[in-house]
Amino acid sequence: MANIAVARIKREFKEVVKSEEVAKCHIKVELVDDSFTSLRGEILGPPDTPYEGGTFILDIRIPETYPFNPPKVQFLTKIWHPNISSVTGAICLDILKDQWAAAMTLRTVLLSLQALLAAPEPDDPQDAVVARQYKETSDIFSQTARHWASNYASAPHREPVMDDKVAQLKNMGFDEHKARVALSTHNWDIEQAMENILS
Amino acid sequence: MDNSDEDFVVNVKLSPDRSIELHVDPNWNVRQLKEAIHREKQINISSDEMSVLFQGHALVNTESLKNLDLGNFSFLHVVKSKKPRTGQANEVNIPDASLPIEAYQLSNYFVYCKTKCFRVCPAKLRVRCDACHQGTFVVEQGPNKWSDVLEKEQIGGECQTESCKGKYAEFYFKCTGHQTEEHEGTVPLPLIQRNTSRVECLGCGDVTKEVLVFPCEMGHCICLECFKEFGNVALSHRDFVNTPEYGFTIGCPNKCMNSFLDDAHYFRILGDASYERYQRLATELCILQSGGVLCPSPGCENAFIPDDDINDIRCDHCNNYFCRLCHMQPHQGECSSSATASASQQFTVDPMRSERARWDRAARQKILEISKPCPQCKSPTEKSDGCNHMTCIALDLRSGQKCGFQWCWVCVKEWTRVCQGTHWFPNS
Ligand SMILES: [Zn+2]
Ligand SMILES: [Zn+2]
Ligand SMILES: [Zn+2]
Ligand SMILES: [Zn+2]
Ligand SMILES: [Zn+2]
Ligand SMILES: [Zn+2]
Ligand SMILES: [Zn+2]
Ligand SMILES: [Zn+2]
Repeated sequence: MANIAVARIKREFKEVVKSEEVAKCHIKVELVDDSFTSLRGEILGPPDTPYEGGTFILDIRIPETYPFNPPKVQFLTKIWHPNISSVTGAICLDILKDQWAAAMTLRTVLLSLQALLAAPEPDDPQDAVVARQYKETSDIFSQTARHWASNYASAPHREPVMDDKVAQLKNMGFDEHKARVALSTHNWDIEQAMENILS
Repeated sequence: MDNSDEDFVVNVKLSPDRSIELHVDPNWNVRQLKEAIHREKQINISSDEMSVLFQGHALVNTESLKNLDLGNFSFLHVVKSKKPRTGQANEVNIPDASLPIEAYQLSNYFVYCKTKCFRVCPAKLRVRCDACHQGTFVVEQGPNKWSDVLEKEQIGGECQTESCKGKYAEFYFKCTGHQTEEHEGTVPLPLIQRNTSRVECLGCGDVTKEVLVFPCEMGHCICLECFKEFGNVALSHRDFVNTPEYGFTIGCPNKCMNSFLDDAHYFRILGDASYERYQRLATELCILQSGGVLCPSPGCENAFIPDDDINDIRCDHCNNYFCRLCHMQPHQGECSSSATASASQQFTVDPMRSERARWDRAARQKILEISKPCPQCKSPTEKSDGCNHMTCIALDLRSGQKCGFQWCWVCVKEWTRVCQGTHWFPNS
């Protein structure tokens, strides 16, 4: 990797490790190997959101042209959010694309992602299904997002009714994740969800 | 050249079209030099009537050549003395330069050397007559700022060449990276500065010797290595834009307002291949502006002008097939460009990183405003303009005479030719 990118990442890495947010366990960065091209990020779901208390793991790839090009960031933890693909974890965020600027850092990226969890932008969706649910039935969206967070990100607040519905389908022999996706997509209507899985 | 006692050669210009090479002994003083010139060429001027001019100043007889910072093949100009004019601060009596010749390598001025080095080099600031282009010019006052040296007829004075009526100084820069004749092409790059404030590079975070300071309000700094990287990334992403004032250019990597580089020569720093690419892209932009299309495939720089009614385009170079509007794969129905969520404003730029990569103009301005004591009489002297050449106007109470000491605001020592060549006016 280009020297500039390595020098910069080493420096930033130290900064994040020492930062206040890390001290409060709000964000975290770890090296995956010692090449500084691949890192593992972690953000804590912000308070007063469906993601509260959850731990979300991110895959961070540093391009050779860093910091003049943004890092490639993706959620490894499954998440229900209008701007994050529930299938791939791909993120739709301007600063990770054309609004990237050289004074942005790993720290600001992680904080921006945390901010995105607190304030979704449904008009520029990455996941159209989630975005529609967010706009049309915001209660169901919040519960679904909380249900995903408790199941995939170890968030403390559970949604027992939804847990039950997933368990029902699972007991019928369906794959748990597929069942969850189908139920989430069909606003927790068990029959529609089953139809969807079987079709 | 080094500081040894070996003979060296100077070019002595006797008239615009007559010059001789003269071997000189560094232990001579200026009077001995004048006698040598007189012997060598039997010119019509006696050594008493003779003025030897170097970089806008008449040399004083008692000065030692060793201390003049002449350098091998420096140009000296010989003229018959005009009537002595009193009260001209810059004309005479600039004593020896006690700084080593290497000091020029630490110049505050940088150029792109187009002729020999093909890179950014520290430069010596030089002055000559704008009418006859001879170095026989005595300035009334030093330059205060970049526009004084870059624009015509900013600094007045008097040309010492007999028949010349030149009234304005012309400034130019000599590359310190190679041995050079006087009239060679270098391009001044005012945004490049010696990193005296030890600012961290916006890109890599290192504190490098030189930085390019963007004209944005924050004054973001980038090292030349990172500038190269940044410029090349911007070229491959087509981040260059066409501006009415500065042409095809880029701004601060932090996407600051009003931060465009105002001279295409900065892009020479990117290297020959990239500079060519820059020129090609600038041409392609013209194609775009006249309704043409560029292939969006990375690395492919093909440009074409398709018919107005065609939206699905196949690149005849890389075979990429794309929608003219969204640059994605051709699709059915109306085109809608893809959208992205916008990050909450408060976290976009890392304030620490941005802050540490700043050339703080305001703070430097403050430093410039304070007063300093005259190195000779210790009277506090305030700087009124940008020029670093100070003449003490304090009155010596015992003698009733003006101190008159000429000193350098930067070095706080006697004014020398090295001062004049490397920091006559502040580059910030
Ligand atoms: Zn050169
Ligand atoms: Zn002249
Ligand atoms: Zn740098
Ligand atoms: Zn800037
Ligand atoms: Zn192509
Ligand atoms: Zn399209
Ligand atoms: Zn004084
Ligand atoms: Zn000085």
